[in-house]
Amino acid sequence: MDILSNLTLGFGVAVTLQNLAYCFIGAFLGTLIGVLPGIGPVATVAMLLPLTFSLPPATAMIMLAGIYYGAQYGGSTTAILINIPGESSSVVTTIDGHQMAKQGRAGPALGMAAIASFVAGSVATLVVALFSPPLAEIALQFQPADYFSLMVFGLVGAVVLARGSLRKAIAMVIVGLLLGLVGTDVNSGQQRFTLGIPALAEGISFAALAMGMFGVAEVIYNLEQRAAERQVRIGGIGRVMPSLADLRQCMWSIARGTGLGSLLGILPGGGALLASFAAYTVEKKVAREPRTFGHGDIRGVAAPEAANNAGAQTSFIPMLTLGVPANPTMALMIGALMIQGIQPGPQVMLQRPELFWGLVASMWIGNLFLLLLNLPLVGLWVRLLAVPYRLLFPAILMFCCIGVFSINNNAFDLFQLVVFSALGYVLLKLGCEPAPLILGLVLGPMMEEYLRRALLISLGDPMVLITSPLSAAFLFASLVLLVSIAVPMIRAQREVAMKE
Amino acid sequence: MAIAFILLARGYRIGTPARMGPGFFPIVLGGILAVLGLSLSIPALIRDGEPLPRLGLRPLLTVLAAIVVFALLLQPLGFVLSAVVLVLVSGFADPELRRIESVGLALLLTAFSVAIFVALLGLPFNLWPAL
Repeated sequence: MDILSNLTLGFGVAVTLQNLAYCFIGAFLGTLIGVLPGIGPVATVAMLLPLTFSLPPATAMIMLAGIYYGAQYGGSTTAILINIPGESSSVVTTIDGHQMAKQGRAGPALGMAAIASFVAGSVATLVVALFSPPLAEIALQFQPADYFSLMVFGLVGAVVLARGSLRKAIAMVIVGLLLGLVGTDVNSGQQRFTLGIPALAEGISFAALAMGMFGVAEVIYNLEQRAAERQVRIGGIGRVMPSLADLRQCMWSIARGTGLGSLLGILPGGGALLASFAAYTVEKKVAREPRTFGHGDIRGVAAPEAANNAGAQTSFIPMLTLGVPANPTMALMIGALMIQGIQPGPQVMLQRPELFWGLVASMWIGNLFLLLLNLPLVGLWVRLLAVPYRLLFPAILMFCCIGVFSINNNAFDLFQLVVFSALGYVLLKLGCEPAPLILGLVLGPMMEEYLRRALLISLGDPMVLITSPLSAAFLFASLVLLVSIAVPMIRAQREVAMKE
Repeated sequence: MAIAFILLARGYRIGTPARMGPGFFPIVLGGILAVLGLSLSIPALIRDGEPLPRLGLRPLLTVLAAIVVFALLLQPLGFVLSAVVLVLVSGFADPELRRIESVGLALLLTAFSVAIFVALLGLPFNLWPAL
């Protein structure tokens, strides 16, 4: 019954007029911007992050969460209509979704995506509510050494699931960790790597880095790719509501997708992506006539959409209970929490129950908003898709600039933005993913802190990392992951999976 | 490809020389990174072929210049003027953007941002040049 009273508390927080309004605005803005071609959820959250700084913490998190699943859904819309996935986890949706659109069934595809997302979101929210408290309880007993190893594990997971070269991904993580160390050392007050610039004593501006890497760098990259201008041709949408037959056909697909998504979303390193691939594969295996998949089978939309939304939801679990982000968006959330002055980790749930349960309750409300928004407003989103990029990119730039500047009212942050935009662009060009970097940046200071504390307690004996059973387990798991990915056979499979 | 990697790898090694004590963590990380950087750049050096991907200089430089100009103008000229300049300059990044569109966009976006960020959210911007 504990959970009931907690949920009541949560709904009490979430159903205030202010929080409802921000939840709605978040979901709306998220979808709005997520629908725009070439802007994924990470960029959307990064861009809108500054909007939340002036809000109280719970409201800020509620709004950011709304933005996140709004953007996620917006990505699916572009996947179905113009075959451009907003992000990697809606790649699978393009396979059958775009086929459906070509056959003039874009409406039902979009509607089914919305319904599947809603069902999955509701179930996954329940999963978050059920499993977070016990997990946090366990996490509270963690020693510093365990934390350190847990973070190593989280980072390794992120690396393994990154696309492209493994070594590049590891290098990115470490660059991120190092960048995270810039600024005043917590223990000694020493200034490190500040190059003598006083403004860097506070550390690197997290928002500047996120927006530079995911916002501006993408803009530059997209501008350059103009030669291969994508043709946006959108046929009729048709009826949005899927028929009863469609619904009946998809019921189990949605259920399976939800289950898979909830499970895989907890894993570090972008569970939503994995979940959507897995869900699609399972559907294909389970279906009686698998040949219709790839030719506009509605189940091929329902299952992965349910999975990626469930995964998006449950990826909050490690973020909220352990303070370890499962994907770049969660890293941004942690950044937002820290800007709000809240140290993420298991103690959040105890010290700020209104924040935690309010967020959980708002997840469900946000999903409801999304459903209500998306079914009637599909027409509007479609028209947005037609906005040419040349009118779009100056707006993105302006939002990034305002956002970065507004955090500290400091023009120096804008120069950081310039530097990280350039860096982000070069990295994109070299095929290095920025996602591991940002995870590293967020985890860097925490990891150092925990490692130091662990060594302090053990009087400088590094064996503490291995003698503590939990820590050893995490390190061992990381090692297994790394080795398994380095083995050529599995690597080949991974590449196949990524290519699909 | 190779040149860029060397540059990166060199950037990596700069991470190493930190102070002792607080420098422990950075040194270890810097070490790993240096090794990785080398392991990425040496093969890239030996195996010639794959040329460095061509950088699209025009969008890169114009977009970055636009932000720099914005940063420099913001304090002396106020938000409205610098925002207009930001959009106008960034417009040069895309040859397809017509001049008139660019001007219209600049005015529209600036008005929009003032409405949202200053009027609605109350961010403390100086709108006009300080007199």
